[in-house]
Amino acid sequence: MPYKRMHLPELQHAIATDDDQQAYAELFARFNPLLVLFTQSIVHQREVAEEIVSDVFIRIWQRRKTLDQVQHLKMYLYVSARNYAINKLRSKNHQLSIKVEELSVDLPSFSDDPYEITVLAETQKEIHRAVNELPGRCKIIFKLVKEDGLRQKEVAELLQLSPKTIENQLAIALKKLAETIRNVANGKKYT
Amino acid sequence: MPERIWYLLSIKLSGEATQAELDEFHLLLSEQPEWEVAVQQITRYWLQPKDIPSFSSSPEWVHHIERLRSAGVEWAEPNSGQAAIVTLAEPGNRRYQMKRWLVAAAVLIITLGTGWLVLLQPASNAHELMVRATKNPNEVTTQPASRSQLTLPDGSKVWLNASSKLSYSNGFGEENRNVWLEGEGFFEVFKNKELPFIIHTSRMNIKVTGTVFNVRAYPQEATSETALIEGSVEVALSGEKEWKYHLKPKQKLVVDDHGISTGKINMGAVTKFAPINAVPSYTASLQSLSRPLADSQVVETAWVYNLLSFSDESFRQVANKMEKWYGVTIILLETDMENWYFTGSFKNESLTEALTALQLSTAFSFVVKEHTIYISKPVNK
Repeated sequence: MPYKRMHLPELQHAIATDDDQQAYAELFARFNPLLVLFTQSIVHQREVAEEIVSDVFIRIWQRRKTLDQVQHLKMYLYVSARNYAINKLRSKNHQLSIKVEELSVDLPSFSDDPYEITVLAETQKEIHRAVNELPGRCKIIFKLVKEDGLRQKEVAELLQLSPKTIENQLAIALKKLAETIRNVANGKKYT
Repeated sequence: MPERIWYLLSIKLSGEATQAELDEFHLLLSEQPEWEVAVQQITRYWLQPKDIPSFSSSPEWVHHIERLRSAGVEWAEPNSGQAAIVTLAEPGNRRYQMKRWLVAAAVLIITLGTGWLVLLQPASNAHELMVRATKNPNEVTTQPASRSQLTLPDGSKVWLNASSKLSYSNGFGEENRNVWLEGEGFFEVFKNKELPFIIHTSRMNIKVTGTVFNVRAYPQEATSETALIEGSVEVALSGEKEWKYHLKPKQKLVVDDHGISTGKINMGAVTKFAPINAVPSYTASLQSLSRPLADSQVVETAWVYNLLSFSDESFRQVANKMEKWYGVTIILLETDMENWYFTGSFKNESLTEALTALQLSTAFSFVVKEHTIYISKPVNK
C-alpha cells in the first residue's frame, strides 16, 4: 500500500511496532508543513519553527516504542509543537503563554496546477484574499479548522482559548467571507 | 455577535454538526435565501483540495534526518543514488499483512557492474521474493505473481506489478527523467517542472511533472491504459510527436490496438471517443475510472493495495489479470466465453478460491494442471 494513502493510525502503528522508517517519513511529510506554519505563528521565525518541529519529530522517533499509547497523534503533534514553542519563547523572554493576538499566519496559496488555475473562479480568489485579510487571531483559528482539519474544541485547547471564543471567531470569519462574496456578486470590490 | 447561521455553517464544514444542527442550518438558510450563493462558494472554498507536498525526499526531510542523526538517534539510512527497492508481494501466502512486508521485506540494492540485486531478507521466503535485474543496472524486473516498490534516484516512487520491467537511462534525474515500462506500474512522480518525467511504452508515451497515476502496458495484451489519480498528465500515442491527450484526475486513456472500442469495460462511463487518424491501427478512448471499491480506491490501482480487482471486465481480461497475479496460464477453451463479464475483487483468496467464487456468478468448469488452468463451459448442467 502506498504510504501516502495510509490512515494516520496505521502509520502510527507501523512506526511503533515495526520501526517503519518509511511510515515515519510519511508522517513527517504529511504534518511538517502544517506544523511549521502553526509553530511559526507563535515564534514568528521560519528557521526557529522548523527546528522546533524537527525536535518534535526527533522525539517521536526516539520514543516510537510507546507511540501506540498516544490516543490522538495529530493533536499530540500540535500540542507538542505548541509546548516546545512556548518553552523556547519562555527561555528567551520569560513569556508564559501564547499571546494569541500576536499570532500571524499566511494561508498557503492555491496549487499552481494550470488546470486548477483556469477553473478557479474569480470569486474563489476573492475569498482567499479575504481570508488572508482576516485579523490574526481569527485567521489562525480559521486556518487550524479548515487547513489543518482540527476540531473546534481541539483548537480551543491548543490556543488556550474558550470554546465559545472559537465559535465566535469562526462565525465572524464566515460572515465576513459571505459578505465578500455578496459584494463581488454586486460588482463591488470588498475593502 | 454574528448570526447563528454562520456558527452553524462553521460546525457543518468542520464536520462537527449534529443532525439537529444541520436541520436548523438548512431551515435558517431557507429563510435567508440571499445567502445561498455565499454558502455555496464558501463550501467550495472549504473543500478545495489542499496542496500539501508529501514527498519524503524534500530538503526539509533531509535536514531533519541530519539533525536526528547528529542528536545521536539511531537511523538506518537506505542507499542513495541508486534505486532502492522494497519487494511488496509474496505469492502463495496472501494472508500476509501488507505493512509487515515493508518491514520484513528487504531493501534491495542494485550493485553496479554485476547487475544482480543483493537480497537481504529472511531465508524462509527468499525464493518467492527474488527480484532480478538484468545486465542493465538501471533495470528492474518483477517475476510473475510478485510486485515491487522502488524509489528512483529523483525521489519518485514506483510500484511495479507482476511480470513487469522498468528501466531508466544513465542521466536519469540530472539530464532527463526517461523511463521505459513494459507491464504495469503505479507512479508517484516527484515534482520537478524543469525535468519532465516521461514514461515510454510500446503504444504510448506519458509526460508528467509531478503526479500520481497508473500505467498498464503489457505488450501481449490488446489494450494499454493510463489512469490518473491526481495532478495532470499528457499522453502521446507511439509514432506521434504531439502530446495530444490531457487527462484530468479520475480519468483514464485506453488504447486498443485492434481498433475496437473498449467501452464495454466501463459501460456508460466513456466520456469521449477519439479514433486516431495518424495511427489507424490504434483506437483510444477517455474513460472515467471504475470505483466499486471503497471511496478512496479505484479498480485500476487496487493491485497496489494487494487487491485483485475487476469491474465489468471480460473473461479474457479477468484471466489476464489472474495470470499475472497467480503466476499461471489460463486457457479459455471456448472463445465465446471471452464475452462473459465479471466484477469482483479478491485479497487473500487462493487461485482455486477465486475461481470458485467466479463460478457463483457464471457456471463454468476448470481443471488445474500444474501451472495451467483450463476453463470450459459446464460439463453437465
